[in-house]
Amino acid sequence: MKLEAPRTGWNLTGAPMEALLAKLERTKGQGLWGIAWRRLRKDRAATVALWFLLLIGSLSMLAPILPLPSPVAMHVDKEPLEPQPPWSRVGRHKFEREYWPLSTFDTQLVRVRELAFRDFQTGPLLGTDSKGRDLFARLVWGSRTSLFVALAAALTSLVIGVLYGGISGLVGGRLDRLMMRVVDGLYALPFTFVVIFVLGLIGTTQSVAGLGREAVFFIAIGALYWLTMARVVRGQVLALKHTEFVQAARAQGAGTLWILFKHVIPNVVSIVIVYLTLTIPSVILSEAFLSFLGLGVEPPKVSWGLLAVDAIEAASPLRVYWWLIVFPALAIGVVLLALNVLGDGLRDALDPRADLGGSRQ
Amino acid sequence: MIGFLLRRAAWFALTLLCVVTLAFFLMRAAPGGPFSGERALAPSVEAALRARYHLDWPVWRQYLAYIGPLDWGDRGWIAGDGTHPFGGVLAGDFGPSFKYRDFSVNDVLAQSLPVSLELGLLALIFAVVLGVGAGLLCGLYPRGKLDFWIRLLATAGVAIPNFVLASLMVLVFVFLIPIFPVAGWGDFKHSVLPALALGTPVAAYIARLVRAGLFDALSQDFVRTAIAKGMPTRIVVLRHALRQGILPVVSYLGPASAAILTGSLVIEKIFFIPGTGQHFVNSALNRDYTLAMGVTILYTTLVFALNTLVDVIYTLLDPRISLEQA
Repeated sequence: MKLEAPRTGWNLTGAPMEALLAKLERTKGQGLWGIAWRRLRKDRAATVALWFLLLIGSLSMLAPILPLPSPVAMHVDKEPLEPQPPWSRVGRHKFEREYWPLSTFDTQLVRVRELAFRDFQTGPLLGTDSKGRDLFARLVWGSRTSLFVALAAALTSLVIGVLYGGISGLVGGRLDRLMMRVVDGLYALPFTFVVIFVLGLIGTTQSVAGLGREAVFFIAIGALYWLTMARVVRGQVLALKHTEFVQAARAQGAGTLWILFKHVIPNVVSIVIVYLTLTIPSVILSEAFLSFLGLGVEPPKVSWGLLAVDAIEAASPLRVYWWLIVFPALAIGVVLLALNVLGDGLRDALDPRADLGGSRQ
Repeated sequence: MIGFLLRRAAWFALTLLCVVTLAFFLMRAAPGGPFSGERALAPSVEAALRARYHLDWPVWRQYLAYIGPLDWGDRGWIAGDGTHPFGGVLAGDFGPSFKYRDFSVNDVLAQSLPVSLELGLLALIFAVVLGVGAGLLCGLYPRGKLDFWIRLLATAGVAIPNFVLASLMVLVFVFLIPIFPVAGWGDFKHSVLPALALGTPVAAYIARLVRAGLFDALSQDFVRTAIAKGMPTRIVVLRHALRQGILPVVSYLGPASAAILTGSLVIEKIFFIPGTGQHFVNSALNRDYTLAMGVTILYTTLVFALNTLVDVIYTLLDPRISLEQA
C-alpha cells in the first residue's frame, strides 16, 4: 500500500487527504469472516460444493411451486417407465393434486403452483417407480424431508452441545469433571442402538409425552450427535476462559450466563459452524438409515431413505429398474459428498493457525 | 494394566446396569405389549399368557426378577424348553423369547450371532486391507495422480451410505453381470457383496487416516534423517513412517467395529442374512421384551469389549501411551 504523505504541515483537507481516507476505507481491517470467505472462494472444490448445495436447497424449498407431478399419486396399472426425454409424450397425464397432509404454508404454495401452471406438469424425466409415481417429483420432495430433518436434528445437537459444553467449560471445577464424565459414559454407550431401540418402541405411536412422532425423531437423532459438539465447545471455552477479555469481564462482576452469551459464544461460532457442516451429512445418513429400517419418516411421506427402500424392494432378477436405484443413490451420494467437501473447506478456511495472507492452495 | 482392566470392568458394569434399567423401563412404558399383535387374542388366553410370563406383576418386581439371581418369590419364568426355571440376566440367562415361541433368547442369539460376527469380521478385514493399502499408495507416491484419485474415492466412500452402495452392487453384480447370488447366507459367495458394502465406508475412512498419518510422519525429523542417509523411499515409508502412521487406524478400530455392527442391521435386511441385526429392530417393534433386552445387552457388551481391546492393543504398539493415563 502506498500512502501519500501530507506535504504542507497539518493540512488535513484537500484531494490527497480524501484519497487517503478512501484508501483507508477500502483497506479496512478484514474480520475473520472476510478472510475465511476469501479463502473459501479460492478452494475450487468447496466453492463448487457450496453453489451446488445452494441450488439443491432452493430446488427443495421451491418444490411445491415447481410444475412437478404429485409425489404420491399412484398409477398401479402401468409398468414402471424408464426415464423419458423432456419432449416425450410417454407417461404424461394431467396434474393430480395429491400429497400427504401438508403444512398450511406448503398448501398455499401448492395453490400458487396450481394458479401458475394449472394442469401442466413435467413428464417422467427420471422414470416412474413400481407404483407409477414420478421419481423426479419423489426425489425433490424427498430432499425436502431429508434436508429438513437434517437441519432440525443438527440444530438440536447444536443447542444441546453448545449449552452443555459451554456451561461445563465455563463453570469448571467439580461440575466440569462430573459433566465430562457423563459425556464419557454416554460415549461408551452404543448410542445408535439406543436410538433404534427407542424409535422401535415408539413404532407407529403418533405422539409420546405430548411430542409428535417426528419431534421425537429429531430429538433422538440430535441426541446422537451432541456429545462431540459438547466436547469441542468445552475445549474451546476452556481456552477462551483464560484470555484477558473474559477475565476482565469476570473481574467486573459479570455472571456466567452473561459471559457465555456475550463473550464465549461469539468466539466459538467458527468452530461450531465447521463441526455443524460435518454433522449434517452424518445426520442425513442417520435419517436415511433409520427410515430404511422403517423407524423414521413414514409413507406416504417421502425421504431419501424411503426411496432407497423402494429401490431395493422393486429390484428383481426379472426386470431391472436401474433408474430406481441409480438416481436416489446419486442424489444421496452427491449431496453428502458436497457437504463433506464444504465442511473440509470451511475447516481450512476458518483455521486461525493457517497463514493469514490467504496464499494457501 | 490390571488396574486399567479392573477400572474398565467397573465402568462397564455401571454402563450396562444403566442400559438395562433404561431399556427395561422404557420398554414397559411404551404402549402395546408382546401379545397385542396382529390378531387379537381372547381376553382369557391373553391373561393366561401374561400370567405365564409374569407380565401381571408390578414392573419393579419384574425388573428385579429379570436382573437378579435372588429368588423373588414365585420366579417361574419358563425358559425356552420349559425344563428349567429362569435364572436372571446376571446368570447369563436372557429368558424365553415372546415371539419365537419355544425358543429361548439365548438360543436365538446363539444361532444368529455367529452369522453377524462372520460378516462383520470379513467386512473389517476387507476394510483394513483395502484402507491401509490405499493409504500406503498415497504415502508412496505423494501428491501424484494416484494420490488425487484415491483421496477423491475415499471422500466419496465416506459420504455414500452403505445401503446405497449395497443396492448399486446388487444392481451391477447380481442383475447386470450375474456373478453373485442375490441374497441368502451359506457359502463364501453369499458373503462377498454384503462384506464389501459393509466394509467400503470404513475402508475409505481408514485410507484417509493412513494417508494423513503417513504425511505427518514423512515430515518429521527421523524420516528426514533416514532419507538423508540414502535409504530408499519405499523402505522409509514401509519401515519408519508406516509404524507411526498406522496408530490412528488402531484407535479407529473401536468405532469402526461399532459402525460395522450398526451397518449390519441394514445390510442384513437387504441381503436377507439371518444375523442378529434383524432381531434388534424387529424385537423392539414386536415388543418382544426379552429378545430386545438380550440383543441390547449383547451389542453394548460387544462394543465395550472391542473398545477396551483396542485400547490395550494401542498401548502395546505405542510405548509413549500408558494405560494409567487413559
